[in-house]
Amino acid sequence: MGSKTTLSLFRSLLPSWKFFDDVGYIPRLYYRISFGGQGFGYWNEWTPRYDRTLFSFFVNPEGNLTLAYVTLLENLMLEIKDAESAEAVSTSTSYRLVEEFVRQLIKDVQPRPMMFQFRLSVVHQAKPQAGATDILVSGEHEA
Amino acid sequence: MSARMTLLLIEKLFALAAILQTLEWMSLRPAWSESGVFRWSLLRDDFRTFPAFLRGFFDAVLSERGFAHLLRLRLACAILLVLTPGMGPFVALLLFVVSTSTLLISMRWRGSFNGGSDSMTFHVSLALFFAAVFAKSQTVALGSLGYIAFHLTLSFFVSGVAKLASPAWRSGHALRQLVTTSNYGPPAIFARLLSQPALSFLLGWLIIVFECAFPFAFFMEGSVMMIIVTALFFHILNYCLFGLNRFFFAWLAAYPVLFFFNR
Repeated sequence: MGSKTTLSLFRSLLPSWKFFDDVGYIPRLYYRISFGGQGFGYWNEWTPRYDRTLFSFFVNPEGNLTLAYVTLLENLMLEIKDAESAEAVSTSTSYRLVEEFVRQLIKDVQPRPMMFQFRLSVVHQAKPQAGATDILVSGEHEA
Repeated sequence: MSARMTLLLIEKLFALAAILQTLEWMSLRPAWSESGVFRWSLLRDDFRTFPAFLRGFFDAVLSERGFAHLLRLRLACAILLVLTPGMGPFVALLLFVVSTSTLLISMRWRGSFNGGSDSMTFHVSLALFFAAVFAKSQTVALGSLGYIAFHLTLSFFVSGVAKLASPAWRSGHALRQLVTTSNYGPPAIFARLLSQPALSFLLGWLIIVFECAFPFAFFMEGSVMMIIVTALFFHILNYCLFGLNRFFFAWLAAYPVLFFFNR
């Protein structure tokens, strides 16, 4: 895992130049919150959305940050596929970044939640009607 | 256009791309600060296999404070690249900073912030750097232009061949499926338009043919402007569908090689 991670840090040096070369599995992120003592509520889906404007054609920080979050979810999806154990996943950088991402998503919820949980599902782009398959349900994390 | 003039044009367009990229990163500070998702205290774990002296270097340069300085330095160098005439040791120094910072920034985003646009930015900056170091060498100038042309061609050709090998692209379903199910948040109007099988099929095949045929752009006399306009339209389409604005400017910097080699 270590040397693979190190190599991936240099991937801008050796591009594959394959853009959108095929359809395949894509990740979907869901999260739910608990206010303590009441259990968890329903799952919310994080939907990446951002506006295309003339200005954002030149400078598009929010759009590109959203794409960075999508890449993060894709990385976690691939790491889960290759992981030797569930513990290896839950201690990985990708997992902890997604955990932090969800924490940021719920930070403005009022009243402030006590705990949260997230799950990662995958959908095949050629068969979206088949629905999502869960590949990870996180532990309970403090909000 | 001479080799030197072509390199100069590439350098100015590249500097513009670098300025826009850096402004984006600077405005994203809440995301990479120590209270954001991409905080250094989390990311540095990916760097644990490096020797201690390199880890110390990364801590200094990629932590919140160091990263803010790195971005300011990159922005200043990119602006100076626009303003500085000609090529030479000073331009080489500016390009060294921009090139190195491109790699460091990509590493901080775990290898890439924006996929292929980071790669194109890095490879163009590398070619320009060597052209500036050996500013008097015609051989290096030609080599630098050839290097940019090589990556520019590969970026289309490899992508086109990969699509051609995909049954989903050949059948015309891929573009529709990519747009309607993707995580790139395409505007609803494009999803609706591409849900029409005929349009998805036609546009999908136009993309495949354009990408696979791109190497011919270097040999088709008098067609450079048409190819560049088509390519720019292709990038605008990518922006509309997938939000990839950085690709437009990163590739724009590389297109002048077409003027040079297509003579």
